[in-house]
Amino acid sequence: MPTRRAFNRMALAGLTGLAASPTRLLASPTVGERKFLFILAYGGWDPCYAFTPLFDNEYAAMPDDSVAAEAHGMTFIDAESRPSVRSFFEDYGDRTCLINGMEVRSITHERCTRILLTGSASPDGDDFASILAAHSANDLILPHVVLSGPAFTNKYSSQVVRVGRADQFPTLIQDQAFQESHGSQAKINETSEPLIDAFVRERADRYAAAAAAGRETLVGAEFVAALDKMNRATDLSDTIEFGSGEIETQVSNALGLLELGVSRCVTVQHNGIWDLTWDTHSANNLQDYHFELLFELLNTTMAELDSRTTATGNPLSEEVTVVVMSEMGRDPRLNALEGKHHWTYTSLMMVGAGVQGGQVLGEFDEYVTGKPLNLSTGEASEDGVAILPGHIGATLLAMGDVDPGDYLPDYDTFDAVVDET
Amino acid sequence: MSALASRLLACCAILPLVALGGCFRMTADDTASDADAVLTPVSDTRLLRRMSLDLRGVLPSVGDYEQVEQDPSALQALLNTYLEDPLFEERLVFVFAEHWHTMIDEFNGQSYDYQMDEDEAYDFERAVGEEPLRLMAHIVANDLPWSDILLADYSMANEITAAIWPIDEYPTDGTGWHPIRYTDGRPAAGVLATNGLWWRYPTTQFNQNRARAAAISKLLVCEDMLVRPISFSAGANLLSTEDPTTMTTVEPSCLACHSILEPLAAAMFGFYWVDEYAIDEIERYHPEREVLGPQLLGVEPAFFGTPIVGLADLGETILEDPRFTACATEQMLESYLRRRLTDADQTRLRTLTTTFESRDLQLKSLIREILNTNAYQAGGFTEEATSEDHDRENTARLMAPSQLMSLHANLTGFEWVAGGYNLFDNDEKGYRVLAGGVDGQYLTSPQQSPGVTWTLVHKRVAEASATLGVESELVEGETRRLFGAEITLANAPGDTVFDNEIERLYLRLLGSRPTAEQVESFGMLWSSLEQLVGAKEAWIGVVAALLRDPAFGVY
Repeated sequence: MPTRRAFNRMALAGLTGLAASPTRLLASPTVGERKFLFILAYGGWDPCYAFTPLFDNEYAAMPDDSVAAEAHGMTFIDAESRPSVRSFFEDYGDRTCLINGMEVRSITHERCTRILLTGSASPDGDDFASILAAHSANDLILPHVVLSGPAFTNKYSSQVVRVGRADQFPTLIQDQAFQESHGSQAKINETSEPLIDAFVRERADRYAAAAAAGRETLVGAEFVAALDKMNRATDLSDTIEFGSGEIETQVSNALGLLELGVSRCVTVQHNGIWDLTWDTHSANNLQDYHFELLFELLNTTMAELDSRTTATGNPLSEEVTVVVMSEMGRDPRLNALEGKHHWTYTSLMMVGAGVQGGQVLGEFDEYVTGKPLNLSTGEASEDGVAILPGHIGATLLAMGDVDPGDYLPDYDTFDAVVDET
Repeated sequence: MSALASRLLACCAILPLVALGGCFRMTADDTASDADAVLTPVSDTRLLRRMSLDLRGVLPSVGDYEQVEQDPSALQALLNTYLEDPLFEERLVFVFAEHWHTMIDEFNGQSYDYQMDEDEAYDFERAVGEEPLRLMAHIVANDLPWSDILLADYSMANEITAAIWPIDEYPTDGTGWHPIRYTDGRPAAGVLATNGLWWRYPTTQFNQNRARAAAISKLLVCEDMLVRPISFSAGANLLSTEDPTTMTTVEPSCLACHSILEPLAAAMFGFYWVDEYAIDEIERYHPEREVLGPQLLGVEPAFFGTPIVGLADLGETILEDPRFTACATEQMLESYLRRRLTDADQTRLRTLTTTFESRDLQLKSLIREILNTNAYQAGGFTEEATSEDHDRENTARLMAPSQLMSLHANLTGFEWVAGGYNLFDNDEKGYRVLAGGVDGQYLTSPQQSPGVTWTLVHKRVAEASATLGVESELVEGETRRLFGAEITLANAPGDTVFDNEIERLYLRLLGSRPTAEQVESFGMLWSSLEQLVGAKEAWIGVVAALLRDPAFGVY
């Protein structure tokens, strides 16, 4: 238990406020460690609007006024109505690897999303972002921040910070969570707080030290760690924006978290125009607007990555891999409502640090199903394998210095994606 | 000596655990397996706390703790008392919600569709989502057989759904949840005939009840189609038909699941919606559409190969499937062990299922059996335990937001409501997921270890609840429920009343007696705070510290 001398120190700390500078709070910068920004286009995008030139395919309904175009050796779909797609490939194609024909093996949103993010439909899995965050070499304050969208966690739930649809996390941090319900009446005396925090911390230390083996030991250690991170996050709340807000704001905030070394992974969800999501069972031409907005966002993201610097003075873009994905694709054919139903084959983009850019991997056969690929070369091969989210996950884990065999033992890494230099 | 006491002694005499420093209490565990040999029990008072939180969502009274301290056999009597507590039925709603996932924040039908105000949105969402959960909880609390969840010719409604849906028999001027009957010709099929279940698991003209069929399979026989492996053969012509969904009836890799899903879906077309967002469509059962299933899906209704005729027959057919009782047992065992089951649990699972079946499907009895297992009562491990044992057993459960909600309401009267939303219990405006809860969509199992947001929610709530409790009881003199009768702001560390109150609060909130050193340390905290900010704030600080203690958030 705390000694009387310790209490005197706590009391003094309480009186002086124990102010800490952001620099001290960020004593463990994530210098050099690869970080990840996950952008999920939720609802199922139609790759025909940006990625897959199926103009000669008898089944595929390609969008009007679209043509195949090329930049940095990459073929993409160009149209006047989607200038941001063109500018993205022209400006950042050399850092982009586009994978076509990835198979999700379901056509339900719930299952596809889980498979896409975890590599499996099992409810026991953790998503790639949370695994990567949990394995950071640094003591991150907020290892995986979910500004919007899903996160599937089991073992690593404690690594995830969900900001909440109404910005609940910053509200909590700023001690405003009772403003509407209780006004200021529920607030504890500010002078008391540091003393109580220190007391609880000491109790937690003792709990952890005395914990029985197994779960109690784990919970005790995580309790202590969470207390520390909570205090560090609280002290940083004037420096860092945690809020969700519009997607542009979310991404900007995400980059701020990565830049400051607070987080290793951040997830955001892109819902397309007017928040409709990408699920166009009718009016598939909405994909035109969705893609233009998405690539506008990606252009801004890349520019910001280049302009921001890490603690080492290097561009943030040298440390961040951006993963842009959608949980499924869309049937190549239009239905009676001018929409497209679900399709189990889709595309995915990896951009930035660690990625071998300027390449399109994967292709479709005449039935718009993905051809098996050689994982080393990315070439279509009868001896190759069907590209699944598990392969992407294994690759991301390896890029983040996590042994994929520990989590995705059935999947090899997709080495053709990775820049080995 | 009572029969129970004899069993206690017999248990201690025969189990090798005695020599290793522990003996499980209450009754001998008939479900014990080899894996149990490495478990040691949690203390009597901490076990009582665990039982109370699991069954009622509140802490035991000091009197209950003292009973157990004086006579450990009182645990069994208190367990029975808790099972008959009205709070048990309330708690069951949240227990079932962790499996049935119906307490979501948004349905196709919204409160504004019924011209309700914005501040009624939360109450509306829960009135919808809780319907099947309330029916199940009602059946259990009233000692009705679990089979009634598929046979009941009634459902449950509160004043909100009773006023807007085609419902009869709700008490005039009534409030809260009551048994009711729908008036739209839906069959007697228990939860399968509730709006709440099918609003949570909606369908579309594209999906045609397949998702609902998958939900039935998972929820009632624990056959999760979503985790079955799928392998398409590369090059398969998925474009050979106009609609890719028709591939599900011919492609072998699809048939593995869809040979089950389509016939099951065909039985559910009374709930098929022409417009899935039109209120008058989705609030009613449509008997005339029952015939559409075979026409649209091209298969006759069946449940895993057994032909069925309609929804009522589906319920009865599920009851004949041995997986139904095994599934209920599995779900309850997972709920109360607060972990996923493993192969090491199979012996226990089989024994419990057999017992459940032999006791007329009384779920309350099953829950009693589960709480009597060594796995439930475990608090630690012997030295022989392996890392696999450590990983498997949950000896330190994390408090869920629903428990935090009911616990604080009971302890200090603290409720966290803003704009009509209970902020413990939703994610639109509230903190359910941040506090480790289940949202029923993306998060489908509760958090197992504390993270930043869990800790932060607990901190803020502890501070607010402590402030309310101290203000109302020690300042305004309201009825004591947190504090004992004698303590006042004038008492200070060192006097007997003060020290006794610390000991009492410690026992009440943490479930164990403090040592003299621990009492002294809380006294020192109080003194330090009192010097800085006065006696009232000192008590708020002491109570907040207890409410943030790891031994409080873990049970």
